[in-house]
Amino acid sequence: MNLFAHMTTFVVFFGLLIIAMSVHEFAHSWTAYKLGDMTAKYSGRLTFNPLAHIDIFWTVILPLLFFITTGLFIAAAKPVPINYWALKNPKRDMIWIGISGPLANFALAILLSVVFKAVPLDSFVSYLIRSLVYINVMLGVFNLVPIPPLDGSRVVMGILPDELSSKYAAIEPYGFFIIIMLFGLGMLDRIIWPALNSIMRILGVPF
Amino acid sequence: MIDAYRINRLKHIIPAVLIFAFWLQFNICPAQPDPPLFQGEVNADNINLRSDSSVTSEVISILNKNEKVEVVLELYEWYKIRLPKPAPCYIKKNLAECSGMSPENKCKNARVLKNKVNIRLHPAESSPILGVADKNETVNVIKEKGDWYKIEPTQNSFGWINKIFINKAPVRDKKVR
Repeated sequence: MNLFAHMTTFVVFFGLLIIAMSVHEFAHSWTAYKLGDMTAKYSGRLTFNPLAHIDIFWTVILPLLFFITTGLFIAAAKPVPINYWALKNPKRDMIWIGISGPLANFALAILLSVVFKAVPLDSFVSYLIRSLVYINVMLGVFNLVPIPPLDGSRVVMGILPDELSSKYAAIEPYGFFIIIMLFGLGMLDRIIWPALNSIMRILGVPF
Repeated sequence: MIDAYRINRLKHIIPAVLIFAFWLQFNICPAQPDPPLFQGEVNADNINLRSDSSVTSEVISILNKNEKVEVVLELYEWYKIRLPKPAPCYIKKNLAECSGMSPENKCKNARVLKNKVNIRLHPAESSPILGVADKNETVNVIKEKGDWYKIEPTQNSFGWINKIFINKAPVRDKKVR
């Protein structure tokens, strides 16, 4: 692929990723708000505005450095602040808050896959839609991986008994490195890519 | 009705048939290049031509509307197509020997030295295999890159495109004037 096509793809993907990310973070904030925690609302995170969810290091600098040096793409949004003790039923509610992000992405992907079938295939909109479906599914699947900073771990923590749950939460500071290590060991090929592939086939959106 | 005698005989016939089929597979039928199924036409812009029949395989190149492709195989929701000329392909230098020089003294053609040599997407042995070349086949070299030749796709190099992006190209019958 030539450099121009490569850069265009990167820019389009980055823009669409910001949209998917905003939906994801909004879902966390909204669920927390509905379950009784106002922290996210007061920190201005209960919005679709991407600027509220962008973290200059994790969303901009890190992905750029990673892409330039390794050709890989990894990015993260600013975490939504949650006050555990403000929740009505903290242990159970954390599961819902955690899973709401990926669920929102899957819901958007399903909605867009329906729109995709109604839009003419050769239009630019169609290209944006199928790219956005792909990104949403990828974001949803990736976040369900149960390694602590990711949303899948919130579900695991909510299910585990208290003692194990706190031990599990203790690996959070090393989570990012664990994820990078798992990438190196082929987590993408064995877990994320097959799941992404199956979901795209079910949605009937080619890419 | 199958009696014990017949079952006894089948016990010998089935393995014999299997062994024969196995032998045929490797001896009578050499690896044939896929014959073309039909001529297709890409029906939208920014279509990924991929190295395998999955949305997570590597993208070889991006095709645009009205580009012609030669479909050789249908597999679920994918078509296997012969690689178009601009697709990047690499062959390892120690498996091909330069056989033609350009006036600027650069390698233009290379002769493949072994059978079933892999043609790859990137100049690295970990990159996806796009096709194979056999002994004495000539490949057109575009440039040299480290231990690899960047070449034009060989006849036996393929990529995958999702079916919905390919229309059957209208058949134009040649009229004799």
